Amino acid sequence: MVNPASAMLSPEILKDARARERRVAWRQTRIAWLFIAPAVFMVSAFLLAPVVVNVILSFTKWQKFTGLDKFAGFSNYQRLFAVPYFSEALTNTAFWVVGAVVLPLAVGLALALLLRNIPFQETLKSLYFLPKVLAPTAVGAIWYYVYAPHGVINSIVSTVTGQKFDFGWIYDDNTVTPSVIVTFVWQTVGITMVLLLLGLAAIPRDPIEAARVDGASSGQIFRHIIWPLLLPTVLVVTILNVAAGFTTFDLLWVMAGDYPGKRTLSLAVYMYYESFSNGGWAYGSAVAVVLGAMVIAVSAGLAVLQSRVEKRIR
Amino acid sequence: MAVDITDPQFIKSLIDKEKLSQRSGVRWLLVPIIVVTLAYLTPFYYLFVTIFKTTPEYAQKGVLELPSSLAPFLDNVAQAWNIAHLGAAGFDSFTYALIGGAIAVAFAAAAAYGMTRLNLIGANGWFMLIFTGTLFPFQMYLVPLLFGYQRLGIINTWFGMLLVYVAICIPFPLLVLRNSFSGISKEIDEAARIEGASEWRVFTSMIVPNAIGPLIALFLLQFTFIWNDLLFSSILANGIEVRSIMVALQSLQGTYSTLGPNVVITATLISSVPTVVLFVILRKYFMAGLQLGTK
Amino acid sequence: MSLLKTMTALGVASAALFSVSGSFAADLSIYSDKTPWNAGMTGLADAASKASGATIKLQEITPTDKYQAFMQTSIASNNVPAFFTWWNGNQLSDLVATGAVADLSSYWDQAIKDGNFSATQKDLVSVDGKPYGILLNVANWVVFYNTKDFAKAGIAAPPTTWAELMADCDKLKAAGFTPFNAPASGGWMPFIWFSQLVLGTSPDAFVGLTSNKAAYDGPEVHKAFALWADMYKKGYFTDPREQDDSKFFADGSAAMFLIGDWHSGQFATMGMKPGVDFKTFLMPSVTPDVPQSIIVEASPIVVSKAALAANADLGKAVTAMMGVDGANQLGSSVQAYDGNLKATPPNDIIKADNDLVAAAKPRALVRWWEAVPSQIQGDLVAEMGKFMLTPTPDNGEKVMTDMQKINADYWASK
Repeated sequence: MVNPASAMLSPEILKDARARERRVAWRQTRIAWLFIAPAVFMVSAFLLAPVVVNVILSFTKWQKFTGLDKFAGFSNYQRLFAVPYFSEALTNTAFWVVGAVVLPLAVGLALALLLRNIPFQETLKSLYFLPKVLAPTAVGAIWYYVYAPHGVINSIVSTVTGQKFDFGWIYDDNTVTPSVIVTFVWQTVGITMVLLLLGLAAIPRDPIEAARVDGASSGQIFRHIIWPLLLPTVLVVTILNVAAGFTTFDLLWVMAGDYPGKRTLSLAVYMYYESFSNGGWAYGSAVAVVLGAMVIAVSAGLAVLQSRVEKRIR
Repeated sequence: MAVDITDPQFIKSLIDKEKLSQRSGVRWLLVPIIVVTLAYLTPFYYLFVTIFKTTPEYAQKGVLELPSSLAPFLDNVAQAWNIAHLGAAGFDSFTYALIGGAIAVAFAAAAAYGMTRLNLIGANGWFMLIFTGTLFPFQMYLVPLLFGYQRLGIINTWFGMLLVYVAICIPFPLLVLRNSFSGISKEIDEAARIEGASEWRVFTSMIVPNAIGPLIALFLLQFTFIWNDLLFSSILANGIEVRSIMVALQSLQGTYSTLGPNVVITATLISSVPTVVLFVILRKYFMAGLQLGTK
Repeated sequence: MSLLKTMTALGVASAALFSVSGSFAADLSIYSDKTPWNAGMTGLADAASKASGATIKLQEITPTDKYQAFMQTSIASNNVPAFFTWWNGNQLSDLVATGAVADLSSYWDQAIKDGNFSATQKDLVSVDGKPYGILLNVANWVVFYNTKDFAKAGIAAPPTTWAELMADCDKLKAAGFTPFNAPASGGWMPFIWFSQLVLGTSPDAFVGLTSNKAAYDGPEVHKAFALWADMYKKGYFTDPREQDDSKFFADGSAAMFLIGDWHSGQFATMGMKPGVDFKTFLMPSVTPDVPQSIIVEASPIVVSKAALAANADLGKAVTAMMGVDGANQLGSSVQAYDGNLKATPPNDIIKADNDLVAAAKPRALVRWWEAVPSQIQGDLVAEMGKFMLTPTPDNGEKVMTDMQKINADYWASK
């Protein structure tokens, strides 16, 4: 910026000064380009270009070996609505998104409220957080045997009821998705709880004390004071878990194992199955595009909601 | 309700009520907490009970029964190690996570520096470009990457796999570091520049040391993410020499089914050891990383 | 270190790494998804290298769906490996249609002249009369039975008719064994019993299913499903959810196992002695007047047309792999039999099966797995798996209707 004091200087000197500044700015920009180049290159080549290619592929006829060079128009997208598998996968995905958002939040909130004031909080926090550090593959491998016909849950039930119980939790159409969602909740309740504890800790004590003095019940305190102030944290948790709900793959793929209806357990699994197991590359790309559009739309909506809530709080 | 808050009796009764509710509150809460925690830990109990059983022992006993001795553990480890080639896979995952995570955070730090400390024209635009890399679900990258890698001949190579991991792990650290670098006062670089230091020197000696906390936290998060990855490795680098440890773990399920669950669970334990150890030692940084994620 | 120097160093390093990984692509490869046969495949690769003078390395990719994905993208990007294992039937014709694999007529003609292979064997890997692969494995699908279990149940000799088989099942049940080991694991096994029952009811319907001349909800399939549901009701099958496909047979709790005779090598590694602890018999037809048929599985190795054209010496590798030494090596290392007429059968089971087949002269049919159009293969197998999990007549009706819908939609779209 040109110093106002220099207004006393002659126009030529000012022009030189401004030109020098512009040169400096350009020099800095060129150097900045060197700094941002690696990141920009990697992201463009490996994350952005593939998205464009994916959209293009969804308009080809590529299946198994051939068809990459043939234009298919919207036929892959039309096929989405013609086969029952897509709508099944869509329903299951909706189930997942709702379950992945609501359940960890409810359980995490309950745990956070329970754990708020007790001793050993750090140890318990770490303990609950531990599954989040494990790989979904590892978690899925363990829980596969928890749900297996001769696994942990069934032996507990057998011992309690005295009869042999070998229900196939992950083989039955009605219980497979809820079962995997339970595992997902097991893995994410820790991080949800920790985030909510952070959010709760940020809530000022005084309004709560004042309300209690006035005789308000715990329920009313929660609804009118805690919940509104917790909303930003809740929204952050929601955004994280929504994306997870849409795109969870490892857990489902490892746990569902040989379940015949595996391919429709979610859109992410369906996309993988159609592309890599069935060889329908173009069709799978179309599924991926639809999934991507949904994720972006929902995330964008939530982000808008989050900024509005934050403005209101301030 | 009119209340005389200057009345000492009233204040004392309030304090007593508070203390009472706190004490009994804690005692009352302890029971559900213990119950929930025990239920939550059952899978871990199952894990520890299973890794000490032999295959026939597992088949004969109840799944939650204690093992008869600790001896079979080494045998389980040996089987898991040899059949799934966990050694090679573990080495691969370790190098991917260490090198890939470090390079990604380094690239992100450099980019954050370029965007915040230098007069980059259109800095926001560049940032949005990289940020859009986080918007799309991974499913949209898979088929194009597979096809592209095939064409370039880098499919099933260590180097190819590393490239993907680096690319994926750049956007989030960039987001965080951009915030964190903006918070460092401008005078530090100005002072260094006046003394004639090059931008690189300013970056490495002045800015990076001031952001060590977030840098370590971010590196840990990316290390864990890469170590835990199944999807990308199973598609782009599936060969025994280059696959990630999670792909090796998954290969034990079903196909080599003459192994009992005891071997598979042991393999699960082995493949989780590094991230758990990191978590235990560097717990502070993990939790800090969490907070970074919520901003 | 200055920024410029760092970036130069990184650039040089990545170029070096790039070139290193790129150089692997120059070696010739033989790709395989049959990882249990690693030793045998390595031996083949060595034989091929020696004969042709080029370095041919074995590359394995597992599991099967990843392997197929790799091949599909390779061919789509014109990056065909020199040699790779594949499947015959419809899977082979799809591959041949791409023009990526070489016509091996001259090598087969020579092999037949030398007495290594027969003309019928050539048909196993032919599309439109021309052979496009060399045989890696020829297997008959038979019923393995546990000799001790049979003895305990009082069965003197293996059954030769369906009625005898059903009676034997009852005897085995009475003695406390489960008659058949029948897992639904691996994403492919459910088709085994479906195809055997349809085949035993009507071989023509069996062939017609995969060529759109018979329906998956037609009368023959209905009969097969009724029989299948009945056998489940009588408790003749093991729990389909069991992941270990050999467990119940290996521990003796299930007395019989319907599978390809290449599995005998695996049982041998699990401690059962071929010909002593277990023997085989041909599955009898369901209806007495239906002639005996047998399912034959043939796995070929195909050769890249481009590679063969570029390097004439590779032809010597092809001849070496079709020779007696290659066959014997496969047999001794992994007990796989590639059909070479001059080779020694790898074990007693395979020898016995070859003798059985030579004596009974059943009609040899391609497996359903290879005959079915590959686009609907996975979907149909999933339906069969659904039945195995809930083997009731009602579910059978639903499964048949769903299968026919998949089938009809496919053929309508052609």
